[in-house]
Amino acid sequence: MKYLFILLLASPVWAEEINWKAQPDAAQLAEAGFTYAALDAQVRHLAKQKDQDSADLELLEELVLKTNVEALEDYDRGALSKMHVASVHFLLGREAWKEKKAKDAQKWLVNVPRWHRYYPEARLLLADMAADTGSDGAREAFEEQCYEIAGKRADEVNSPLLKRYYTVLAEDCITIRARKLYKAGKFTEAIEAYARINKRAYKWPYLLLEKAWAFYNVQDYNRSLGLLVTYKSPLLESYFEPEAEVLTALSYFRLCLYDDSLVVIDQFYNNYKPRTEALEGMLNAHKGSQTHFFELMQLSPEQRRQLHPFIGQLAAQIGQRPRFALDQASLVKVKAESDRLALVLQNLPSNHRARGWMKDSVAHLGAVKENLVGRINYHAKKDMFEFISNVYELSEELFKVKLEIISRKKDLVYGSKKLISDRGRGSFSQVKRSRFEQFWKFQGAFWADELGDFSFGLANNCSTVKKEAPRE
Amino acid sequence: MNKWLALLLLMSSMAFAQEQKTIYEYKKYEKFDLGDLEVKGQLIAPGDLSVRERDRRRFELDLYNRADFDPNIKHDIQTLR
Repeated sequence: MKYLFILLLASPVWAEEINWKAQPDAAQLAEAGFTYAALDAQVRHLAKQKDQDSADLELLEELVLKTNVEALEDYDRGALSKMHVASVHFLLGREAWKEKKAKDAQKWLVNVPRWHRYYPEARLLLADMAADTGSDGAREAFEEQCYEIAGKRADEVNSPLLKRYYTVLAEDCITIRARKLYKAGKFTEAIEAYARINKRAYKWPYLLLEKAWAFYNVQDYNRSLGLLVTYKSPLLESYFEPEAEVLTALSYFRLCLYDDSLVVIDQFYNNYKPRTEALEGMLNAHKGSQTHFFELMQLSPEQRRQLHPFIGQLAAQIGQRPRFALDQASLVKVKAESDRLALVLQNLPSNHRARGWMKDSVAHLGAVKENLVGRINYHAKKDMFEFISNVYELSEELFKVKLEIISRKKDLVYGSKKLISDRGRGSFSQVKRSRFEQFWKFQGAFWADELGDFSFGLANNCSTVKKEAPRE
Repeated sequence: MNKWLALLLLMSSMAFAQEQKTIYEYKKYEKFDLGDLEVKGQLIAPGDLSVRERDRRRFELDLYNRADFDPNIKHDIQTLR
């Protein structure tokens, strides 16, 4: 039935039967299924009005919810600020947040009502700003509101896209708490907050690294190493984090297992450096392109992997983000609408009164389409170049660890000392565990259940003993 | 007459002495037994020689540690939509 309706909407015969005015209003366009064209018409109409009619504002709200708020990003902010609609207020608040204008952002975002689609996201932004001003009570309240409503909506909506959006949003709302606690140096509380995030969460693989940092800072290096080894699981193949290698090397270093640390450092240089250099060369060749990275994102996983091993993994990570899915969905909708309108225009008599606005509208839809392609292209490019710069920065940090290991080894030689023991396999006695943490012995358990609960059992090797003089 | 005879004798003995070459010869080898040497006197300093071990000044590098996840928060919000 749904497909029959779409077919009917897409039918040029049906479109031709509309008695198009010389300048149709947004309501007529919306009724005919031209949502993006209707939104454009409505914004232009409202921008000219001194006193805005509530019915006009309601229609604007309805259209924004269909097209997503990003469709308004290119309009003049001054004109938008006069349109008192929750979606517009949300957009203005988010733009102010991006520009770090906290006061302006708060002014707009508090206006988004509880029933509104963007309410949980507005609360998330407010929580972020409250944390920056040190207001813990307000931050917690905003987080809870965001988490509660986003979680509830994720259960209620049917659209897979929206479900994913609300689910990720709910995860973001509890993650922000853990991150702010970490920043405040409250590592134990941060670990508890991270533990609230379900293993099935979209964000969970990314958060393993953050949790490992929290354990590193409470000097539980075994737990940190255990969390990081989770990335070696085939299930998490696409979640490759160069920073995880740095933290692994640092954790071994803190346990004075210098040789283990050096092995990790060498692996990093052998694995990441040549591949990153090759990737950089490849990406630099298309640095100025407005479409190359967009086209890369349209390739199948197999095609991407053939280009470069990192491209496949990076593109898989980018593809999992709600923003990419929403942009792709919007692009499909705009393209369909643009093609339909072009077809209607083609079938109109040459002297038809509607030809003028229709031409303008087709051109406008073409620009919206181009913007969306540019947006996908920009974000994919940005993420890939950020990855490269991150690898170079981390490689410098690893070099420092290497220097420090050499220096400490030299100290041992000069002091005629040696570390207390050679590297052992570890034991259960070295494993620290809170009462909420699982303890698997790898006996008959399902392997996927154990992910994220690993801990090493290595003894701290930092005590030194005097080296015996060699016998003659 | 006697005076002239004594002078003649003295001059002839001097001429004879100038003709003789002096040869100095050094010892080619001499053995010292240090253990056998004894020094007589009073001991006024500690007998053992010792070197005090000193810790070297260490300059530790400022190794990487994550201060916060603020960039991740920003990134997450920007990738939501």
